[in-house]
Amino acid sequence: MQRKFRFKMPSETRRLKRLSDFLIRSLGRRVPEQDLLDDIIIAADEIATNIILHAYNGSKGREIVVDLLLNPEKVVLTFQHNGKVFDPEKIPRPVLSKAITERKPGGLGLFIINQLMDEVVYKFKDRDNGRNSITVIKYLTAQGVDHASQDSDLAR
Amino acid sequence: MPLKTQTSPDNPDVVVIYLSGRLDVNYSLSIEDEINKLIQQDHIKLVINLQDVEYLSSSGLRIFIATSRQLKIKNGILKLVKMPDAVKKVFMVVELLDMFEVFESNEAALASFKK
Repeated sequence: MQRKFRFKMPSETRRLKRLSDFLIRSLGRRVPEQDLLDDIIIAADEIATNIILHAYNGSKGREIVVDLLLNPEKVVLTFQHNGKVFDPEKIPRPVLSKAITERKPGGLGLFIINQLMDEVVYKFKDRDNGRNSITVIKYLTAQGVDHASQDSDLAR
Repeated sequence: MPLKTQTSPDNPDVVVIYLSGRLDVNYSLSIEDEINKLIQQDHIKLVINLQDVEYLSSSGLRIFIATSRQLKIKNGILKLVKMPDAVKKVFMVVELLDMFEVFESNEAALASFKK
């Protein structure tokens, strides 16, 4: 069975906790492994923070729409925004060994999202609604992960 | 956000800092500033107790990175206590866990300063 939820939040970092609360409310009983739930909550917070700080440049009152799709195999989260286009390819991978010595280690949030989620897809100016989106997928079963790796093998 | 801190009579030069709640982009900078003030006052042996931390983001991680950097300049040391699993996960993902000494209790962390 598939379930869908939608959550809208303004571009304010003090509302980030409400996003976590929404995910716990929607997924808590349906994703029984705390470890997987933590991964999803951490990645979602990083994505929303990036949208607020970078896509919306910290301006308040803009909107972020979060669509959550859940089925026994996976959790799919899509964040839509109307802010600046954000090209993840242009953000260098952080040099983790130098994180302690660098003044402002950048790219940690993106790195965390990529490490915790099984798939991350960015879309710019969607043809249907003109919005930018970031979709992340977390597979809940080993079969789901296998399908994903087969799909990406085929795509190569 | 004022920091909750504690010193013990046995180790008066070590300051134990208690962090709690969500260490996200909203609070990280102010916490970093408060800890930095301690370091500027020459408190350079610090223990951070994480028992009541609910959540840590990459912004929160910068508290520990910045504190370590400041302490390194002053030949100080930072030790961490009671790291919750969700917090440990973030340290592990960014491969920073090995860069910190983590203890199961304040007592164990304080005792390690005497070695």
